[in-house]
Amino acid sequence: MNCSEVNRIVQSLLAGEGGDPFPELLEHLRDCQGCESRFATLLTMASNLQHLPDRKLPEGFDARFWHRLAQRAQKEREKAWQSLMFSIAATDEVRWILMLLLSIGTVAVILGDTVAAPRQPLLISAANIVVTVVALLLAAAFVHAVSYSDVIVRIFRRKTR
Amino acid sequence: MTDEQLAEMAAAGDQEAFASLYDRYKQALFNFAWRVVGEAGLAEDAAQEALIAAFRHIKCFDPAKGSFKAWMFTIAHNECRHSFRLRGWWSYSENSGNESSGAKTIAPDSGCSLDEKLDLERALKQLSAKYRIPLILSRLHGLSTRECAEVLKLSEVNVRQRVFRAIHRLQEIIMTGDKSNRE
Repeated sequence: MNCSEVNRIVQSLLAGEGGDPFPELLEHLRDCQGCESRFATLLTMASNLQHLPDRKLPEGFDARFWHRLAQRAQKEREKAWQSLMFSIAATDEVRWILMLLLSIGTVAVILGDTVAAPRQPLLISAANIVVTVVALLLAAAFVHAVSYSDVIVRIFRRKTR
Repeated sequence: MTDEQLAEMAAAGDQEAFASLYDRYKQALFNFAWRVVGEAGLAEDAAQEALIAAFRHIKCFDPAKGSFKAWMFTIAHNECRHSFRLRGWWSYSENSGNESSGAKTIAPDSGCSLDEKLDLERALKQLSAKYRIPLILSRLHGLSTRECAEVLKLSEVNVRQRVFRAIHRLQEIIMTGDKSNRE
């Protein structure tokens, strides 16, 4: 066995491969002063590392872990329910139906006064039209915000992280 | 029963199997995290998060890709890195290892003297993470070179070299310490 072979074997031994140093290697280390001074201490040190004591688990570790796990599971259930609701709201059909209902509602509220007071003539002024259009736009924005709030929440969470 | 068998049972919904895996790994993961991050609170967080992640993704574990032990330590290693990233530390090499090592340890059953152990523990903390983590995985937790390579995403040759250099460096640190103590 030559020194370069010993070097290779010692590297493997230090990495935990091949178990304990075998007699041939020990013999070389005894005979070759260069290798002995280079590797004998390293091998002893590597073996000593295995006997370093464990750090004791902090008190209440188990209880905190199971509590944390239960909390996380609960959060995940809530999140699953939330994303189900969001996915329903995000479908096109639901969005259009919501838009339609909101539009009808908005127009009904704006014209409500005129219908409730029939003596007054129906007033279709420019101001009324502007208010109706703005209300419709706000309704559309609201529906879209609901549909995409899941995405918005996710982006916000990532940023705060 | 092997870890892999327990993992399979846990993936099928057996909570007892997961509890067994938890009992097997909690101490090792906490120790690993403690030696990587150097603080008990952070180590507890990292170990618990790793165990929770394992529980949530147990179905993703594939025995064909590697051992359960390597999979578990990969998660723990990622959690340690994550805990440092959250605190805005770019490198976790110099920031770890500030707590005293003598306190709250489980008495070892055999091996070298207490002084030697304290020296080793101190020297270990002075190593940079690049060398310390492969050394911890291979010598203290008994992972094979292949498993270490899997955890650290390195080649096996690289792992072997890092462990070798780490032990070399440990020796230097201890010898320098001895000299300065004598002076």
